[in-house]
Amino acid sequence: MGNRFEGKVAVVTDAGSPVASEIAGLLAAEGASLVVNNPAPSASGALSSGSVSTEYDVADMADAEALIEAAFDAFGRLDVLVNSAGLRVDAPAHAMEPDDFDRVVSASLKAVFAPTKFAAARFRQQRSGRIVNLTSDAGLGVAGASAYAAASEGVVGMTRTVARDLGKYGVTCNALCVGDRPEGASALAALLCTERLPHVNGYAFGAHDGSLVVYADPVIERSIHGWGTMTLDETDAHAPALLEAR
Amino acid sequence: MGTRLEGRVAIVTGAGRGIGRTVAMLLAEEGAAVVVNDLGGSVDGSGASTGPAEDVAAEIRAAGGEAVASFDSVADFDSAGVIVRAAVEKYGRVDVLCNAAGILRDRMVFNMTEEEWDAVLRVHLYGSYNMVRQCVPHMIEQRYGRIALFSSVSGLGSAGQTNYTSAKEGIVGYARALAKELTPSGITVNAIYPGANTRMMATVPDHVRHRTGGGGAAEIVGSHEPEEALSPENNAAKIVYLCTEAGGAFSGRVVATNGWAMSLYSTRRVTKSIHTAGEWTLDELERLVPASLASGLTNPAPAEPPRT
Repeated sequence: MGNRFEGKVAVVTDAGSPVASEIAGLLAAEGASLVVNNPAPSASGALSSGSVSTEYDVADMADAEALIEAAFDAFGRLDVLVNSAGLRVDAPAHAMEPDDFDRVVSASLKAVFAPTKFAAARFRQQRSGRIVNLTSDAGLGVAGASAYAAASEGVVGMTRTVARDLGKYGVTCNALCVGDRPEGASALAALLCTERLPHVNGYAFGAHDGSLVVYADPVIERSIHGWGTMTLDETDAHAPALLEAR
Repeated sequence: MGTRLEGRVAIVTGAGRGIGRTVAMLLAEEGAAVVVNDLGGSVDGSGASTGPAEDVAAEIRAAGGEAVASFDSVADFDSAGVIVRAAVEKYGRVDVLCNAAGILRDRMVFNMTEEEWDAVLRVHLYGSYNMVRQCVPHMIEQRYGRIALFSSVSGLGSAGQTNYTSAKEGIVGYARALAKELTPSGITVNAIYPGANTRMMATVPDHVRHRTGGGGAAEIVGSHEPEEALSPENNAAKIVYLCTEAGGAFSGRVVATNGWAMSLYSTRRVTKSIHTAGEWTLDELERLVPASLASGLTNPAPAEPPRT
């Protein structure tokens, strides 16, 4: 236990999920005042006294704004936003129905955008703030959960852009892909919410199988080049080389 | 005229202008019957017109190809179904889906409205889903399909485009998941990072168009290539290749098609990891992470002093 977040205020969404609830507990143990959205009923004991629980739908813009403002109403400031919204629906692509797709993308992608937008306006004004988006590695290619894969990788893309929109104001935004056995996920998320790593902005980290990892952004792995507009004959001849093992 | 797509039926959305148009023309040139779909709206998604799709379909037919124009929106599930039915009812099947339809509503995240978020997500991410979901049952039945979903290098981070990057990198995740699932049924799915001087690119900020390294993305428009490399035609052969039988080895890939090159992107890849036998504490991570996971990372938008 320490005092790394003494005097700081954090909002944690979907605080009933296992990792988010651990993060909330860790921030509280380090002195943060908390607004927790949708905490598990059993979690109240782990939170600091005086923390505020809310039941907002964070995919709804008005609710998301009310959640961010709840931090100002209760504690007069906001320093940290942990977005943990996520809903997975498993169905094969040909049977993933429009309502399922919409539910997943709303609950896993728009539900990250909405609180971020309102926190971003405040963080920009105060020229400080930390955002950590919990997401998953489903977007690297998980069969049977295509909507969740889309939303998950969408959060990674969003994180890179929010970082670029807010970096110059001293704000950072990073993503943490939570997998199976995510030991240390909460501690890494908490570290990203401190002032210790101001240059770490726009990156994806991961916690799975007992390891903590950092991802490099995608890069061009291999190219073929023409001397002008490539023709189909040329792509037929040379594109297969793109897939050859090095 | 080639024969690579003889007997095949293709749907190209956003085919009225720019890169989509060149893809539709080349598919037709190779023998495909093409549904040329375009809502005919402006770059921000407002308005509609039958003109652009009609013109391209007419151009294809004038060159001896087979095409029908379609004006329905990809952004609505039922209306996407109308596009796919146009292919199935007129031509009996659907082999190729190239989803190029797109709009832009750029805004810094702190000012972005719900309407701007929703409009862009609807066209790009829901549009990809709507078209895929409507096509895939036919492709599964045929045990054959080629799907190319337009994404963007903006998905690797682009100031002022929270909506667009969320949708476009979402499409990458979607394409990878679909590929895992559908490749065994003879259906390939790839995401495209296109690039050219088109009316959509004209609104993309210069720092994205010319980004080099730093965030890891290569430049989208090769600054060492001459002006004509920026023409949308440069994308067509590479995208059409992915839509031929010969391109079947590519699935679940991100392929950049701008300029005179064709490039394969890696996934985001683990570069460093740390392990423990027990529980991580914040104290330990505070000591360990700066020298391990966080070492070498640079801030793409470092803090600036306030303007006075």
